[in-house]
Amino acid sequence: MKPFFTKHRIDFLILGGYGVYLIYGYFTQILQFYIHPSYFTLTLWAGIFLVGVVILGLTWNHAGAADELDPHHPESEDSLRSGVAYLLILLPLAMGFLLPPQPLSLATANQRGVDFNNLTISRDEGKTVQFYRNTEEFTIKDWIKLFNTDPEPQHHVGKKVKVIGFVFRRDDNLPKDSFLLSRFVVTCCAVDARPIGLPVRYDAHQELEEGSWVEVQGTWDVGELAGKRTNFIRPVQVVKTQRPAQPYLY
Amino acid sequence: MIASSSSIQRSHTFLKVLLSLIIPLLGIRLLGFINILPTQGWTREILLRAQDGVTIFLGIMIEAVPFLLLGVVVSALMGVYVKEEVLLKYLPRNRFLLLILLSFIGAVFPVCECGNIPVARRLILKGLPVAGAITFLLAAPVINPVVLLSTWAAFSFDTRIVFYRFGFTLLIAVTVGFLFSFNRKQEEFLQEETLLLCEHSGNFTSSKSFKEKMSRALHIIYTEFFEMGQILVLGAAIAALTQTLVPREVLLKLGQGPILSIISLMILAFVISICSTVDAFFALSYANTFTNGSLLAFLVFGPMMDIKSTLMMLTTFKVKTVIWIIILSAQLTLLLTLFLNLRIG
Repeated sequence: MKPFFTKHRIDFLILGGYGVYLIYGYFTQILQFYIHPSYFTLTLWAGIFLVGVVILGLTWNHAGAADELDPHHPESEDSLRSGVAYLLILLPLAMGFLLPPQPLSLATANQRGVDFNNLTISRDEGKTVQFYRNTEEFTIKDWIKLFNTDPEPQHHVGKKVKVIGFVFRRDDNLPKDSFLLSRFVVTCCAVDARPIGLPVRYDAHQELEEGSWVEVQGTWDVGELAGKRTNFIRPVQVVKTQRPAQPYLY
Repeated sequence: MIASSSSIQRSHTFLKVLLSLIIPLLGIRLLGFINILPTQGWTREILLRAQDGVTIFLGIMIEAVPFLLLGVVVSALMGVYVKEEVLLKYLPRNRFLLLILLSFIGAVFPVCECGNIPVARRLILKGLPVAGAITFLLAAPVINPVVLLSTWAAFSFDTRIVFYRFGFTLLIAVTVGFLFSFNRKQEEFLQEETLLLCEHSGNFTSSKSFKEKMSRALHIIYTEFFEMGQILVLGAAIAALTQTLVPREVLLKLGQGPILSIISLMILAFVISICSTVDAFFALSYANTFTNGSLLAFLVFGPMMDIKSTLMMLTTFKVKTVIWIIILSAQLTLLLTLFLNLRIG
């Protein structure tokens, strides 16, 4: 009896599985938890190509017929070794399809340390923030870039601010009445995600769960932080909110 | 047709592995659904870490798979279309010229480092000296238009970085290849299995129909994707583990001095394993705190060597060869960038 999982069918499952996962990731928009949007199209094409290769391989059957005679894979196969090989190649597929897709969490922010100044990481470096825009549309990243261009805190006092981020408190330099409103900035993929944050002076912040998403509305003020004169947000309103559809900034 | 016992065994192994992956993962998924996972305390912290580890792991995989595929396709097309005799006839006889020419192949086939290993191995199967393949492997991730442009974009305020990156990479790749070229028995550098492949690669280029060639190419794509893919997974998993377990600060606090800063950024480059097309943007984030020499060390050594490319090289080269490649390229990077640090600071 011929076993169900012939080498040909296993290859089909694996390559096809990768192809389907990439396409699935593209259309369910979970790719954005993992990679920068400029790679989305490339990933989709890779997925389509993989599926195409599998379909071709199935229709041209003699690729499969040649497979049993393949000199590269001698008949006496070490089952431990091939077991490990299957485990490795299937691991990302199983994790990708079965585990709930999640963006990076507080744990990584904690481990990498949140930067609240000095952002020189993103691709659009060099392009300046469009200062004529309504400042309430600025993201956390826009603000940090603005502070890099014009580091004098006094210049920003009184500007209106409205930003979304997650609550981050584990920074020894933070005064007791403040937290950092944080986001991840991604350049390539989740590997290089860097957490950035804006200081918010808010007495009742202990009521906010660490890592939860909030929208902060208020104005900029100036004060001492870690022995340095810096801007912080004086909130008018702090509202709990859902994680934004696009959790990272680019 | 009567199936051999080994193909039945393979089927069983595959099924066992498949089930042993699906069952626990489905279990975790169900636990998530019924919401019994803790929302506070250290168990939550561990769960979040694990979850982020998975995200980083899948991030590396999703990013790398299209490039791996590209490399495998280039290798497959070369496998069926490039004739050994023709390749060897057009290559220059002079060792230096040959190595310099090979450093620039990346400019024609801009494949990421994950895609380079299948191409390099294919070149060896086609009769290229191993030393030449090593030069190609070291140079190609940097000496190609995509990477140089992205470095230019990132370091537009200091274009010297782009020229140094290009120059140092070329110098190191050619030097390492040159050192390896002195051994007359080039096959000594290779794994036994690569040698076997050499004997079996056969002549698929001559007098075969288009369809036969294509189905052979498909076969190469299947086999190499599987073979390189599993190593990529291992590399991505190790990189993701180190990323979640070792705080980045530990590496970065290693030093600010001219030597320590270089070494710490080289280790960082080796560990984080990011693609050469974007590492310039990443290095940029350290531009204010690190010496120019150490940034260059990151940009030169990182694309040559990292956890996943080391593992992938081991599919083709002997452990000893890979260790020598790492030692030589690391030392040369250190020397060149140290020189830069001491001269212009």
